[in-house]
Amino acid sequence: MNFLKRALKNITRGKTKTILLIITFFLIGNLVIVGLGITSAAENAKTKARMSMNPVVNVTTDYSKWYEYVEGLTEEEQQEIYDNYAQNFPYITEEMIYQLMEDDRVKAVNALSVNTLYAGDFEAVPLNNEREQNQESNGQSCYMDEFGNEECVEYEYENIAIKSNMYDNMIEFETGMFKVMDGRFYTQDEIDNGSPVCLITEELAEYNNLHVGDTITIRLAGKDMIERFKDFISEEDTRLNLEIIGIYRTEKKVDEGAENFNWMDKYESPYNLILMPTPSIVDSQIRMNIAQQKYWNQMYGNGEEEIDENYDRAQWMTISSATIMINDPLDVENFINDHKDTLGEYRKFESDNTTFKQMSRPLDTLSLFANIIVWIVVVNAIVIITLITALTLKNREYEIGVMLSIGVTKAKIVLQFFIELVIVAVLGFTLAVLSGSMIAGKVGEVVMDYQVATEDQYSDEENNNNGGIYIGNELWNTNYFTSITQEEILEEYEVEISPLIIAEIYILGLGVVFLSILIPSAMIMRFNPKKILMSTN
Amino acid sequence: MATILKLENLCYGYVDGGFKRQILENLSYEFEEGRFYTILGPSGSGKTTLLSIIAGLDKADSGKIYYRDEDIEKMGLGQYRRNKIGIVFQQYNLISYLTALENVEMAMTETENKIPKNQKEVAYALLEKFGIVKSKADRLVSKLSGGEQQRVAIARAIASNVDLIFADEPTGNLDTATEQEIIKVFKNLTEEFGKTVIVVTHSNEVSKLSDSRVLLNEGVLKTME
Repeated sequence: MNFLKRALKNITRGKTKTILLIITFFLIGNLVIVGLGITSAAENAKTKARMSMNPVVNVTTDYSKWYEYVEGLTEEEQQEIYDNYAQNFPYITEEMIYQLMEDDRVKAVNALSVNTLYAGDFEAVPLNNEREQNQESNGQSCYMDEFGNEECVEYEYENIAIKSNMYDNMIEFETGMFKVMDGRFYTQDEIDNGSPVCLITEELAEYNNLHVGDTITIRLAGKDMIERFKDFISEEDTRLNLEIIGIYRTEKKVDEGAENFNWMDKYESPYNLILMPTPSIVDSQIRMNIAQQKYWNQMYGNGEEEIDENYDRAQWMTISSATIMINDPLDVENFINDHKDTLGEYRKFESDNTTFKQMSRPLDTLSLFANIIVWIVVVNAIVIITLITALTLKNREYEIGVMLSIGVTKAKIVLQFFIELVIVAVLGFTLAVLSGSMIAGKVGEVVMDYQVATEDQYSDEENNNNGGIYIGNELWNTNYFTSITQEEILEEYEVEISPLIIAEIYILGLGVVFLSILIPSAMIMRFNPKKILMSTN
Repeated sequence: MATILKLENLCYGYVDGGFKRQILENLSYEFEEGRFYTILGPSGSGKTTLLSIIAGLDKADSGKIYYRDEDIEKMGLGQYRRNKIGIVFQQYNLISYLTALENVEMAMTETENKIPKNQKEVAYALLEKFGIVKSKADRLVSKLSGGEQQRVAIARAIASNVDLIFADEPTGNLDTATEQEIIKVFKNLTEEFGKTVIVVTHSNEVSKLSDSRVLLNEGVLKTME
């Protein structure tokens, strides 16, 4: 009859006491499960919702901070800034992006330049909207000349869009928006060398019977411009021959139901989007720009203004914002914290974390309260079980005295009492696990409904904040952030008593039992068999 | 005969109401193996205190106790109680939520003495020897009569295969008939089992049957003629 068997006999034969203790542990267990279940469900809902969002971060110039700084300067200092604006403006530099890319968490970087240009030896995919049916491929721009006569100039509409990147991956390929169907994406070497390569859409390839390895020509100027600028740039120099190295599929479709569909230009069609490295187009852009300046100088200046033909190529490749995709949505905040100091004062990271945090506030509050409940219950449980055990010891002094008199060690006595409590606690907590998930679910729902109602009532204005995301023409301002509503986050809320929570409850329970037995153990250690037996005899 | 327990200059006293009361005063005595001793003495002479000390439940203020020439303090009182002696109390002192059999088994489990492997059978047999049949052995001790409980207590005392049994007023709670039966059991412990039994008692019936009657008076033990 060792201490383990004695513990079992005591539990099974002292039924009333055992049942009362089981009920105590059951009640404690329920409260703990409710707390842990709600906390875990809230955290899970947040995690699931966050995981469904793109892990993207915008690196951008902090315009408001920059302008505030400039406004705070003296006029002379301001003039100095404006005189060398390109050098002084806090652009996002290539070095900064490369530094960020060294972080293993970075999956893709979009530092894009967008240009609307002209198809050279191929046709843009038609939209078949009213504008095309009316055969409006040219526009007309009219103005009054110096003699008051109206002058009209016809110009050709741009029909293709170029998105060029300075890095060898694009977020769209990571999110599945784009997928290379044939060939490949351009490499960092091709970017660095400014290789004339490009990727076109399946639709554009099919429409023009183009394949990987073919070469297409794009024009940087419309026919009217070529005619006007012919004294300053050759037609050849306005053309750019690009080798097709990849054909990609885009999930973007032309929205024929869109309000402006009938007035859309061809370049707005996702099928007419060509992808290429930024450095591959920069030289042509520079030449075109110089020609434009010369033309305007001749037309409207005195023709003597000197045009600086030595453009700083690097300056043409500065960017005002880039979007970085990392590998884990849950790591966005850490990524920002790890790198925010490297950006300097007038640049910043933008993420949808702020929005997410606001949206998930009801869950946070719920989680916080649930956590508080858990700790209050645990502390109370320790006190209650300690008191119960200490009181029980008073009734079991005689038994302890008897055991000591026959030489049972005090450690074995403590161990027996500890095991008795553990068994009772396990039984109580097991019952609590069965009922706790239902209770936790109900309590969670009620509290969260109340939370959501309160949030709706008081925080509507705050929730309108979309995290600083600029909504404009999508071609230039692609929003890589995932829009998510509070309802979507809360929909993920589901109380589930996972094996992890069950393990947590048992570990917590054992901890409570262990702490609760400490004081009674100290009491046992002070017991003297003679005193006990003399008093009882 | 060899000495099983030797008491050497035992002193024990306590302070009561500001006055020191000396219970044992340089008490020395030797108990021989295989004998049945009764310790007699007037009320308040310190019989139970003496028993507590020689049974290792308490410590003397000074002096030594040797069990077969081994100092029990050096041996460790817990170990002494566990492996060398058995104690029978007036109130039986059995564990109420255990059966008679389990009470006996507990002593067998706790001791480091050699116990047969078929512990349960041995315990049943031992109980039966003291008049507790199997059906009663499986009952909770609280369901047994006083006499039966005391038999269980005696069985438990010798279950750990010890040679020295102490008893404190073992018949104090029993009627005359049962008292006679229990005295026989104790007598039997020496005669059949060869144990040394030291009983503290007021009872003349018990002392009459003992091999040696020892008087505790004014803190000193003396063998009575």
